[in-house]
Amino acid sequence: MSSPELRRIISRADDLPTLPRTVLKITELVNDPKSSAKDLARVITEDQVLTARLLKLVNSSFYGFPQRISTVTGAVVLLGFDAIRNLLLTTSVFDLFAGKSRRQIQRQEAFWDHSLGCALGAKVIGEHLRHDKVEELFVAGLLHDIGKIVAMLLMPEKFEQVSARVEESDGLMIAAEESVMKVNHADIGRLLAERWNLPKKLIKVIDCHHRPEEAGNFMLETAVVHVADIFARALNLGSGGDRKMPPLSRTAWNYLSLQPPAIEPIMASTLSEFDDIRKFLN
Amino acid sequence: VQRVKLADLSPGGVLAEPVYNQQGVLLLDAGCKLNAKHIRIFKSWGIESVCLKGHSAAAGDTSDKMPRSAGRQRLHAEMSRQFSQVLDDPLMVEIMECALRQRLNHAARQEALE
Repeated sequence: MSSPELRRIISRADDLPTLPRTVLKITELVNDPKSSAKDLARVITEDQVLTARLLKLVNSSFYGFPQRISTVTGAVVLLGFDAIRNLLLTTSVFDLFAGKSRRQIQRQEAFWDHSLGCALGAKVIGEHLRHDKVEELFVAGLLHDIGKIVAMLLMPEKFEQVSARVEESDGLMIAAEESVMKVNHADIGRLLAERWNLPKKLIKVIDCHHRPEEAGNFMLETAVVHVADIFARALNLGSGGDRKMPPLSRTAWNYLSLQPPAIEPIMASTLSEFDDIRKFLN
Repeated sequence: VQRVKLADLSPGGVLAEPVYNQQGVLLLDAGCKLNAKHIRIFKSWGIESVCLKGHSAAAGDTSDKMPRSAGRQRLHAEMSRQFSQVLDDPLMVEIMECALRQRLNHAARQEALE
């Protein structure tokens, strides 16, 4: 979509949040086939906060390793490059959006809880499908609604109008965004993801999570996040900014070949992992 | 007249009282003879029990389960509003039912922890 509103956001691209330099550097290293675990560990250990977080997370029940991991190199070797990148991206993105007003903070927390719920749902669905890159699904779920946060920060007035429209119509956020801003959070999120040079797969999931039929080569990841989004809403994990349920794409559901008896066990695991990980991220 | 739990209902019974959903919309009027489809619809709306004709009343048999049942009704009403635009999709009805059970279990676990 190339509406005037989106062009306006692009013109203000310098205002878009940037990732911490360490995370950018790590992304570069992960993409470079010549880099080693040691190279990666060196960059991470330059940042004390990232180091502490990484060790805290790899030792959490989320990963469930039997013995304690005390070095960054150890964590890199155990988890693998992609997982480390995703993990650091996750914790950094959480910091990036420090809300200003109390109301903003509350809203952001609700968005993040929803994103976290969707991320865990995506991971659990991935495990159910025996997908080999569940980390990637986790990050995709976490970032799927990032456009909402950007809209809230860069276009606060429009965003208030969108929220008012959601309240008054008791409808979906995406419909209110399109009617007020002529652009939706998936478009805005895609823009940010492109600017951050995120992998194509992530850009596609962010862009197409409400219309997975258009996800092309990344149908699986997009379908997983689409379904996980609906599960997270049904389980009331945080808030997507509205109180209505979007329709389930039958194409996405059929693509995953999920069977109805799998729904409840997936939800149960998602809820239990949500309780666990929330303690670490808050 | 007897209140019969949904799980114990079978086709052929005759409603002694009308059945409404949580929004107060009439699902089936008194005097109707139940068939399997009616029972499925009650299930999809989270109806827990109905009154049938020709049974002797058993007063107070569910009173000890009232608080939990009230919580369930409240949550069901909230979720029915959330799902109101998608309930024509049987998969979404299934998703709602699963989430409702999971949310109730989760709340009960949290309560037990406290």
